[in-house]
Amino acid sequence: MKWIYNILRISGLKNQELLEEYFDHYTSEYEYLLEQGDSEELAHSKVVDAISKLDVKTINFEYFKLKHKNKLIMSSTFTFLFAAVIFVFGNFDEPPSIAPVEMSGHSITSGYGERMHPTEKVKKLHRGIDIRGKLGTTVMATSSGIVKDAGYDKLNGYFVEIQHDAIYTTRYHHLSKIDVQKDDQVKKGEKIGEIGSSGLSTAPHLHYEVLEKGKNVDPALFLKV
Amino acid sequence: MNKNKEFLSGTLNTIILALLKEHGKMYGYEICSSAKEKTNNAIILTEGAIYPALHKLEKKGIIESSKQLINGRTRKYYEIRKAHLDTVDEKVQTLYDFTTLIQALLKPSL
Repeated sequence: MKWIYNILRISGLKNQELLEEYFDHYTSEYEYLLEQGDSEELAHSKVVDAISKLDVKTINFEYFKLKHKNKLIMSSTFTFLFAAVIFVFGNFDEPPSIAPVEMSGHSITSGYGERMHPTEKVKKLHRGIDIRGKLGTTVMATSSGIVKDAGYDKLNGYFVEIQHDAIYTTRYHHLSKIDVQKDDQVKKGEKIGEIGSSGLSTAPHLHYEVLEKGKNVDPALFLKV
Repeated sequence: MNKNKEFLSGTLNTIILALLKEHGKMYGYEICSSAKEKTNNAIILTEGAIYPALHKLEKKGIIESSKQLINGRTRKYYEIRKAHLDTVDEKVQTLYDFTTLIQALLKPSL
């Protein structure tokens, strides 16, 4: 049940001990749902849903208070620390949390992981997911951020890359049109371009990647189903 | 969704302690499911509230924890420290009396 651990890790829980406890909790819940006769798919989506409802910010804050309670009470810098905590936690951007296109009517045609490359015919790690869609379909930023790069190259076609915070970056490839420029600020849900088939592509689709501290992770973990 | 939420915030600790008293050693998920079972799903102790509460009670020294490896994952069990069993009884009794009083208050007088 490594996926439960991964989702929890990505959710931003800071304390390792708490992370392990929640891991046991949700794995127990998953096992219970399977025992009750849920399909793996249904149990999976129920657990993902429950984790998404977890108020991680408050839990982290409660935990911080708990850990530093004695110090805080004794210290005259209590108010200062308190303000600093609000500042730090308040500025945490959400990880990408919506789909880059309206998912109704669109399907993921190629998931994350190793696959036979469709044009090169060799086994390669697919660094993102492909979402099939009509030419011209709106592509949205999946979280707020700053456009790190936008342009064209032979492989990826017209592409946009958005930096969301210190941790998360997302990439959008094979676009037919780009609506943003480098260094633009974008809001979650804002249109950044349109689906196309530019670059090394055989049919209109969006190739979408999520990077966590510079490493590719499975974008499906961030799609709300 | 959980309409009892506002009444639970002040009583969560006592509810947890009462369940621990009854069952001895318990882990977080077990506490949640036991509350669900006992109240026929009417009272749901959320995992977002229960773990921070357990950690606070542990820090206060009222309960203690131990770890066990179950199916390749670590499970943390909690139990009431012996020295606090009596204070827990008192706490539970106080809450019990309180709910009786509230019932009397809410009942329209004839």
